[in-house]
Amino acid sequence: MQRSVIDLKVYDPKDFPAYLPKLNKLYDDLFAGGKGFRAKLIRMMGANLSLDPKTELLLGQTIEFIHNASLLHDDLIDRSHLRRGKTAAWLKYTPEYAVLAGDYLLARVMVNLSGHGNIKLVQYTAEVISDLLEGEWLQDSVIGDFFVTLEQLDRIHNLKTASLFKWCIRAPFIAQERYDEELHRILSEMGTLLGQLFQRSDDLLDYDVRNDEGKAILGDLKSGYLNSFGAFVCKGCTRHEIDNIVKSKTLEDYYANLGGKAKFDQKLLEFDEMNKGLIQMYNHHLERLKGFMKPGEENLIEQLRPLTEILYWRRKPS
Amino acid sequence: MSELVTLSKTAPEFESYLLGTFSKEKRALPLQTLNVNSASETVTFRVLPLKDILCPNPLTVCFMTFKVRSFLLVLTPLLLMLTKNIADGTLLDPLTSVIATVGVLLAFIAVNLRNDYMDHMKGVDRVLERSGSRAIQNGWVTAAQVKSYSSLFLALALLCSVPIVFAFPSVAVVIALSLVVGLWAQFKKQNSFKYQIGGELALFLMLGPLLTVGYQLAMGAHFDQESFWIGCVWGWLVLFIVHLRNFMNILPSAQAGFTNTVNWLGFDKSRRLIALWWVAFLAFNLCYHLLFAGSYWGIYLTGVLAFVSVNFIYKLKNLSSSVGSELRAVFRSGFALFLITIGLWVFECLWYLLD
Repeated sequence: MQRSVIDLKVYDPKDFPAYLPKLNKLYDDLFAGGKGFRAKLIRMMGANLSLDPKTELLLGQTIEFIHNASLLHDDLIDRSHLRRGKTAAWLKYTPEYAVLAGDYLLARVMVNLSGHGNIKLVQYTAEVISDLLEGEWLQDSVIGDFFVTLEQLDRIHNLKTASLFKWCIRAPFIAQERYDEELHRILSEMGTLLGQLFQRSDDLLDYDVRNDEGKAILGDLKSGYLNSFGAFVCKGCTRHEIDNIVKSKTLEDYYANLGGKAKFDQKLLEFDEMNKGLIQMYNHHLERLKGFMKPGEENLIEQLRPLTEILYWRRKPS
Repeated sequence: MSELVTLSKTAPEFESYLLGTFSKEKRALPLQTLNVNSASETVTFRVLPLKDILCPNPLTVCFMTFKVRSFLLVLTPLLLMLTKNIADGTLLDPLTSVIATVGVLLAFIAVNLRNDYMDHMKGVDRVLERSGSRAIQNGWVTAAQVKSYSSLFLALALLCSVPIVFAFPSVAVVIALSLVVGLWAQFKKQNSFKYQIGGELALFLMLGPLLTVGYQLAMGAHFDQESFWIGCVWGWLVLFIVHLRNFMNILPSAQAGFTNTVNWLGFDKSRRLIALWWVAFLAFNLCYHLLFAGSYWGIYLTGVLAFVSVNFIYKLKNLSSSVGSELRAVFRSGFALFLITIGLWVFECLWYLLD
């Protein structure tokens, strides 16, 4: 059965009480357009690990609540007017409601998780929320910095993006009280790599590369944020060259300021090549993970394998 | 053809991969380190045949491995001490001076190599991308080779110390003190000595007063306050660069759990520490000149350095991120001050020598 993100709204009867004005509407608006990729990942993990449906619902809700809380706050910080093609919550309701709604989602996460009773899961989730906020904080501090390096951005993305992917693949094991350190090290590495690949692919959309979902072109750059591909392209350029590149208003300007479309394509090729190294590393850890699968769980490996195809290359696995 | 190998600290081959002794035909380059410096540390290596290692020419490898650029850290105080003793007419034994200079350089290379080895084994250089010589991480040399070279250079340095100790026995006290401080810093905690609060003090002593006083004695001169002062001023300046470098790495080193003064104070207080450290350096330098050297030089140097400091202090004050490019700009600006100071001192030394 396919479950939409909206279905994750209520785990406990006390989630989203009827007496709070606007909150239900705000939630439905925000969640309606979401792909719910992270919840799907939880579902896939849960199905292969034979997680009970109630726990799987809790984990799915947790990750979507954390993710959407970060979006509510993020849009307000960035003053983004649109989210998933609709007016952002802070603009449609008020900044105060957007902040409170984000806080409410995080509070419900803690209420429901602690009610579940696995203290390690509660602790790990709190760590992830903390990482996410640290990442947001740091990302905000590099807005307008067009000389930031890819290594520096990776550190931010590890906190901001990869932490949630790590959670998706570690939390189901923690929920099953499987705490083997080596297993969790492997899962952490895999989650970090998936997060990095997802972020780098998402950053390529800004340059209309594999942009099937029609994301706004040069949106990051225009809002003063040099993303991972931007930083990769600018590496080795002079200050003057970078100044010109970041002033580009259209993709054609960008190509011209970089030295032509051929140079852009060459940089893209090199970027892809570098990320193939990450994919190789992911597959290496996947092989290591095999040793930790119980009988009947082996299928998980084959289901995790194509994630790099989906997340980085943005194509359905062949 | 390369392959990936992941090993945790508990694996029996873990140390041999880090040391590079697991194979004679292959090198293991550390790609990713997780839970650094803990019992659950895990390292993923890319294992390559020796022929596939991208290696620059041997001279470059040598320069990089020995960190020739950092020789400035010992050559500068040696020049200051040499100038002082020539100017004062207290350089009594040129031969022991030459031997001491060679010995100090050999000891410095040994410490650099040992430091690179320790930082690689403990994970500091595997986590901080710009830390160390990168010779081990790039596969140009193995950690085991670096350790052996370090022992060789230390033995040569100790050999150099023998005739000096025979000529001037008081030098033995300084050498023994340096060894004690060095060993204490090395074994005090799990981390490299650069990455702990007490370690910074050790660095100050070894590159500062112990070096200048020892060199003074090795030249046949007596202990005096001036050599101690020169050591303290220089050691203070060295720590300025250490704090600045630690500040540049505040995020990754804090995440990895490395401790130092900068991490302990945090981003905002560290900014103030670095600014105050530099201002204090200007004051110490002025005091030294007023007490022991030409006061006109003291005023001139302080004036010039204060003037060129404005840009650095301004950048430091306006720094808003612990990850952005501004951080590197601040480091470059601070390092430029360090080099300008050395340049002015060299000019001052030439002035005294040619006077």
